Amino acid sequence: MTLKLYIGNPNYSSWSMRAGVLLRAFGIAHDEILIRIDGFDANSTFKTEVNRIGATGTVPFLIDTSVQDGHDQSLIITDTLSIVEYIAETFADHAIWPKDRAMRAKARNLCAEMHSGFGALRQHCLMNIGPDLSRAGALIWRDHAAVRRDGARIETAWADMLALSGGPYLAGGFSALDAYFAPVVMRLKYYSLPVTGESQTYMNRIFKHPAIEDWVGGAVTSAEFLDFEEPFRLSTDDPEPV
Amino acid sequence: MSLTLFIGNKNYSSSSMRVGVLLRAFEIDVYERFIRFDSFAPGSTFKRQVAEFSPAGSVPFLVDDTVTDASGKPLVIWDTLAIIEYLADRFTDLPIWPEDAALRARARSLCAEMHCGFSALRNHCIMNIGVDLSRQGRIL
Repeated sequence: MTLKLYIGNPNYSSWSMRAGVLLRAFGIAHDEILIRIDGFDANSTFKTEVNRIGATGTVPFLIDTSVQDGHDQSLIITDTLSIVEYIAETFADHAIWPKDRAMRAKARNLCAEMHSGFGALRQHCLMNIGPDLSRAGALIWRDHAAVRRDGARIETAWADMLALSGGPYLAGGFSALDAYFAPVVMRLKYYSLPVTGESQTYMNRIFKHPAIEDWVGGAVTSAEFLDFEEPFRLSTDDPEPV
Repeated sequence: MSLTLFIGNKNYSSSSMRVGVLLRAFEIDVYERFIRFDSFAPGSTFKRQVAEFSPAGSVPFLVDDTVTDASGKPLVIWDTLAIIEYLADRFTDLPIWPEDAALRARARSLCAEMHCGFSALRNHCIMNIGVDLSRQGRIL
C-alpha cells in the first residue's frame, strides 16, 4: 500500500477516528499503523515514535510513499484537515466533499469550525468509545454552560445542513463532514447528552454506517484502559466513581 | 460586487489579516466591511452585528451574494481556512495553493497546524500592529 495512516488508540483518539472513518467510508486502500498512546510527555514512547517518523508530535498523520518531497522523503501530511483535502484531491472521483460549490463551502466551514472550536465539549467529554458515561455526562451537562452552548451550536449546524441538503447525511451523501463530526456523535452517545429527536435520528444513522461500525467495533475490541484518558472511571470493570 | 469580507480591527484581528492579505495579494475584487470591536461579551455591539450574518460569532467572514443556498440566503463562510479553500475553488487560475501536489499538501498541513495550534504564542503575544512591545516581549 502506498498510503499509510498512523493512528492513536481508536477508542480515545478522536482525530484518528476522523481520518480512519473517511478512508473506510470511501473504500480507500491503506495500511493502518497504531502508535500506542502511553502518555503525551516529550519523553513518552508515543511522542518519541511520532517524532522519529517525522510528524509534528500528534496523530493522525498520513504518509504517501508514492510521492517524494524535495528532501527525497515520502510525503507526510500532519493534520486531519489537510489529510481530508489531500484525499479529496487524490481521489477526485469520490464525493469526499459535496459536488455543489455552496454545499462544499458550507461543509468546509463546519469542518474548520470543528477543527478549532467546540473546546468545552472536547475538554470535558473526552472521546471514549464503549463505556456508559451517562452519570458523568449528566453532571457535566448540569454544571458547564459552555458544554451546553457547544451542544446547541452543533445541533443547530446539523439541523441547518440536513434541511439544506435533504439528508440523509449532513451534506446529502456521506462526506468528510460526517467523518469530521463522528467523534462528536460518539461523545453525545456515550455521555448520554440530551439531543433533539432529529439529532438522534442522524446519530443512529451514523452508528449504522459500515465505516463507523468498523471503527467502533475495532475501538471496543482493542480498548485498553489508560488512566490519563479516564477522568470518570477507575478501570473498565469498576463502577464509575462519580 | 459579489464578495464582501467582514473584518475586525485591522491592528488586532489576526484572522481578518490572513484573509485580507490573501485577497490583496491575488488582487481579488472584494468589498471590505469593518465591524468594530467593542467587546466579545454576548451582548456587545460587535457580537450582535456579527450574529446578523454568521452563526459562529467571529470575524472574518466572507459573504458571496451570487451564490444562494437552498433556502435563498447568500453563502456565508465564517472560517479562514474554509474561506481560503472557497477562493481556491472559485479562482482556479490563481495559485492560491502551490501547484505541486506535495508542496500543496505541506502548505495545507502548516495552515491547519496554525489554525488550531501555537496557542502559547497566540495567547501571550496578542497581535498588535504598530506599537513597540519589546519590553513585554522579553519578559514573555
